[in-house]
Amino acid sequence: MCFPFRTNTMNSCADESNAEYIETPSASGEKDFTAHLPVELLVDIFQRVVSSSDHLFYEESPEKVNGSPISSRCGLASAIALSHVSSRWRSITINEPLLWATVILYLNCDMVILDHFCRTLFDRIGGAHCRIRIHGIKFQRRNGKCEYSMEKHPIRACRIPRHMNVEILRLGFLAEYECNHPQFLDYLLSCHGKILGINIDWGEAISSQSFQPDDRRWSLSRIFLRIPFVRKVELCYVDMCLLLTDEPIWPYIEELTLDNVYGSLALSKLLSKLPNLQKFTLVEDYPEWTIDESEASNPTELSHQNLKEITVDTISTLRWTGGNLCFPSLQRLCVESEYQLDNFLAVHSHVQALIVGGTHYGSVREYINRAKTWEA
Amino acid sequence: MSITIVTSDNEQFCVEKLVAQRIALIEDMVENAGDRPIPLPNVTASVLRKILEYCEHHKNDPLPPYDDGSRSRTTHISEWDQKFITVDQEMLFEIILAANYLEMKPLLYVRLNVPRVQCLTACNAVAGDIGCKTVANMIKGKSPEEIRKLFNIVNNFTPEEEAQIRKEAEWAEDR
Repeated sequence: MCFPFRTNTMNSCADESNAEYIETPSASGEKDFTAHLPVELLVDIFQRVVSSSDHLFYEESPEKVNGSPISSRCGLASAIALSHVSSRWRSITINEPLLWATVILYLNCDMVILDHFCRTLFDRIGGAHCRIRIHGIKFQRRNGKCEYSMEKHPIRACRIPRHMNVEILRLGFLAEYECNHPQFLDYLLSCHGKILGINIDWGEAISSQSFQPDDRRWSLSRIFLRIPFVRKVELCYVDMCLLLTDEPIWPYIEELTLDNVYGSLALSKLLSKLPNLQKFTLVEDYPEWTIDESEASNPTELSHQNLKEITVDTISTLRWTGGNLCFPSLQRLCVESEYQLDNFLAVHSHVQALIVGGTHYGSVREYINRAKTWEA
Repeated sequence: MSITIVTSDNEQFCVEKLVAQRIALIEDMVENAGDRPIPLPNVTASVLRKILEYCEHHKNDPLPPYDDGSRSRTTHISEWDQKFITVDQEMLFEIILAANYLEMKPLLYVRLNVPRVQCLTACNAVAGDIGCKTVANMIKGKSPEEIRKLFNIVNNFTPEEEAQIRKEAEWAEDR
């Protein structure tokens, strides 16, 4: 018996690295040997199938390939295929939330399908920690008019229900300056589940197709107010023209990543709004940000009492001028360049783990000794 | 020093103790058995032969890293292991089941009161890794129909399930 309709196929290029070794054991007679496997072993196998597809999918460009909410090449498509094999496999897969916990979806699809997909999938995930990435978010046309009314916007299908725990919600915008758009803020407000981390990514936005407001400043508070459980914030390829002066502090934020941001960045002011920040990362593959005027004219060293982990290209990013203990709680430092590092470590000798240009050192002493050996 | 193992089909294997102790269940039984043969009523001779071949090859390997279940499960298999596990489906699934039976991890963790990592044996790798990895690799890239055909699985969905599946097929359909 087989279905009269088409079924999805999993990532056919999966595990290319291993492809040369694979010899498929032949089917033996008419016996189904999988029937004897206990559930935990089948789950182990299914997890391998799904996670290896996800791994490959992340490495490649996550382009939309058809009109469905997800790509037929992602791990979730593998989970769907597994759930379409037999009653037993279906029962096992749909009762194993981890198989469904990495969601990469696209909004430019059929709304009826998207609605059914999200409702069914979010139910399967239940309260398990999950990661959700939404591509293709856009609220305004270039002329400023809304693409959809909120009732018809596809993002409404992606509301996070109360029972869910989202480790990180990645939001891929197709247009710039929409992080404070009323429809976006409405969407966040309609998410009643716990969103523990948020990633705002303008990397796919096209400037020429984005509405360019006269005042481009935007507020993080307006976002944080609507997701009260957020602890981790990642801003990727965004214009850092943030409203900061009149903003309250955000004591609940523990992790901040600025990934290839641009525009004027008031880093000192930003860090001062995050008194309980534990981890700060500044990725600068394409450094396009500049020091905000307010801080450029009166440069001050960055400092933070509670930061435990810092990842930057170079110490000079921290505007360290020498001599002062600016990060008394720092435990782990990751830098690319050694510039100023010796002097910085002489003052911050309490650092426990150090990564310099990709090389790991267990302590400051280990790094200094190795440097001395090199010199000798 | 060697020990004797008796399989379900009554075949006796004389095994070097160092090799046998790579199998958690046997290691557990050796202390109590004294000089008596160790019975393995759930493992046939052909399967035990394969598992011992694996243990012999890996007897000097370091223990695999601790797996608390949070790591993503991989599907990479080394070249020797790949050759080792190139067997017919019946043997493949018997190896998986036998290795799963032989390790009995939870019992060991409780009784020995030692960190889980110290109880992981090469036998784990047969069950938890190579066998499952091989099956995962067989599944990857296949449609449900191809998977059914590969493993002789009967499509036994109820009409209600078929209706659900028909709708779900649209989620990731190539158009």
